[in-house]
Amino acid sequence: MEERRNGLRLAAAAAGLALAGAAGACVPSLEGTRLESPRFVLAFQGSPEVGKFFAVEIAVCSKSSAPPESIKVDAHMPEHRHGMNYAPEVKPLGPGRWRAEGLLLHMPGKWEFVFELRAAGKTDRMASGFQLSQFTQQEIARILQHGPWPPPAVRDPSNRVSGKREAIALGGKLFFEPRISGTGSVLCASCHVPFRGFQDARPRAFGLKEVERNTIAVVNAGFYRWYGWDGANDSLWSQSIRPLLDEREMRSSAPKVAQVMRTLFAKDYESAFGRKLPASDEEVLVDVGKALAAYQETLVSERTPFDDFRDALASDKPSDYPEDARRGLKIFVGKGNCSTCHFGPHFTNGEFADTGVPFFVAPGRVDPGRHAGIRKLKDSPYNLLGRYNDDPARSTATGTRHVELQHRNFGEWRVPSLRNVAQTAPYMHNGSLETLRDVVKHYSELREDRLHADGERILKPLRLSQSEIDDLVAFLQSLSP
Amino acid sequence: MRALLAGLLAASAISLHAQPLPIFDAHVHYSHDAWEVVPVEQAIAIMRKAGLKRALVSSSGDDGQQRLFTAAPDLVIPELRVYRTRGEIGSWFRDETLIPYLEDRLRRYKYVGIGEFHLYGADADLPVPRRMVQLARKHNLFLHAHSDVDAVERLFKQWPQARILWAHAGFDRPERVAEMLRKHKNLWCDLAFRTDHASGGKVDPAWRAVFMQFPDRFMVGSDTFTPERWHYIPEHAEWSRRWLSDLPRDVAERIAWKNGETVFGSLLQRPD
Repeated sequence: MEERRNGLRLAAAAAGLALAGAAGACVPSLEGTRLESPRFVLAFQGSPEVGKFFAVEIAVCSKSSAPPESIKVDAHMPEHRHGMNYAPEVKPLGPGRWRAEGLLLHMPGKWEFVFELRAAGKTDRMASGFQLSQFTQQEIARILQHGPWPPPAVRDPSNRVSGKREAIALGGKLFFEPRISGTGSVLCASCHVPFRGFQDARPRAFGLKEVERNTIAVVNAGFYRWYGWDGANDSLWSQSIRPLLDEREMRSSAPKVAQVMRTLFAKDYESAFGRKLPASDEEVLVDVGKALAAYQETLVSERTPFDDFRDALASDKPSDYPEDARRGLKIFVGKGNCSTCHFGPHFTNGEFADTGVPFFVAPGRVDPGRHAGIRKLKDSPYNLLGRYNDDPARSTATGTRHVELQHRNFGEWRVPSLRNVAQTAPYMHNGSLETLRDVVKHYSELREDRLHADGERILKPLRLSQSEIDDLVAFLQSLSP
Repeated sequence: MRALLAGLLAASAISLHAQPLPIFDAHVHYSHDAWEVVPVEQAIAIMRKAGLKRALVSSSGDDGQQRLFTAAPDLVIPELRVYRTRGEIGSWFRDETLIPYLEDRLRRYKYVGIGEFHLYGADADLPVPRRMVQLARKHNLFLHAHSDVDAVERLFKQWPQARILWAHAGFDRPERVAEMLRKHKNLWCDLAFRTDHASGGKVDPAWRAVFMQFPDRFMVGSDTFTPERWHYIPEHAEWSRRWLSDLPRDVAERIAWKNGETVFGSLLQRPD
């Protein structure tokens, strides 16, 4: 328990000794944890972190007798029945002050500092127990940034039916309606399969034909800034239109969608949008996108073991979060630097990166990723700068207005959320990595020569050991319910 | 008749004007991992389709660019890269086995320069880079340096008459680049992989001032650091034409191709 107690926040434990608050006889010349024995009051300060050498500052005052002739400092794990691997040296600093150097606590868990003060042929023993977290304060701060979960619901101002019950109901029907596809045979849920985490488990999506990219799960899609691996759409409703019109996916058209709506969903539309179906087929198509978006906004992933641990950490409560996942989390927020891009409650910064994944799709043909995505976005009649944005203030269009085409965008892909990641194999924009272990190994053995010499400097091969890979995978698995 | 002639002349002028601006691409790599996925014929076709007049090509594993040069000597200007594999970017300057490799290649093939090499700060004064500079001096070759200001200064200190093509102009600010150009008459800049000098086809005012002050010292470059980026060469050429059209025609032509042609075009013809 008490995960966060380490360093200067060491808690004194009841080790058969009362705290100095009751002593009153003398006050040591140091702020810190205080302990008391029949003859002495001791205060100490130290900042232990797992696996790092540290020192302990000590001050002692005598209640009535002579000062101690010597002090011995040690630390051990009562439940493991072992101590440190190093013998600290205690150096006198002046009257009543000592400094113990060369301490190293080599594993997290319950530890106990032991101080033995020798005077007049007798030894006074004082002990202070504490729980040593494997996380530093900095790491804890980063971990806490990945929550809380779920986040508050958001409404999309560019979609006038966002959050509206009738629109959500209509969107739900349309999501599972094959007749809006050109052939009457493909539905949104063909690729976004509910029991597969709203993904399809295929390397590359297959509607009517196979495309070049992996299906992104639509769970939590209501929270994103950009949609698709290339960010070619800037709203969930415009993204929902895209597969309808793609020849290889649903091969539909505005007239086809409008005809289905007029034949089958006229009343549902009227309830959702508060008006009769418009004469313009394109307007109907856009509204279908908005109803689909309203439905998808309700798809929020469940809480995970990580979320429970994160909240326990935030409130200093015990957690049974597995040890291997904890070690993996430490890599994730620490030396792995994973949380720099997989940031926040959604485990994504919402932007794009080149992480060295090849992007040829056929001999002589590449998928340009974000570079083509920006082009498509700017040309799209459905972007947030266009007439179909229902928000007169264009309050969510800042990114679209300011996004800049750069050379580095060629071969960049959206940083995916890691929520539910264990349910969404295979991985990367083209589904080229089969398992989470493959993904971790990709970063462990990252080919730096595929990245520009002046590119993102945090992308370095992690060179993880097998057990570290296991730990990181265990952590990633804990991001699913 | 006169009207017909005038019409023909006007049409001819329009046609001439409509020709895309030729591009001298001063930063192309054809490294070992590209040879299979972008075969020589395809690489050359891409460059021609992009409207490249010439390309300064180096490859990690020099054989690749030699194949390109053999297939299209009118298009490819070879420079000798110091990497046998691309993984040597961060270690070459301490690798003494590199020197015999360079000596061997220089004995067997013609080049206009050595580079692009990555070299920063005091590393430029290590024995291997010093020896590389001596080889460049002996063979009268350009140095194509992906370097910071410090390393460029050290290279000039080693060989004051060196001619250096400063890759990406060090990713430095335009004011600093101008300062270096003012200081070193034998310094040229490539603008590969940077987009800060132009946005939406418009040249940044600070960069415009530098281009206007030093119109003979800049070249464009695509930087094909992965095989996939060969397919970016046409895109890059188009992007370059767009922002260059925001400069006076004469300056645009110099940066687009004339500087590269003037500086490197004739070097292969010189006697040894």
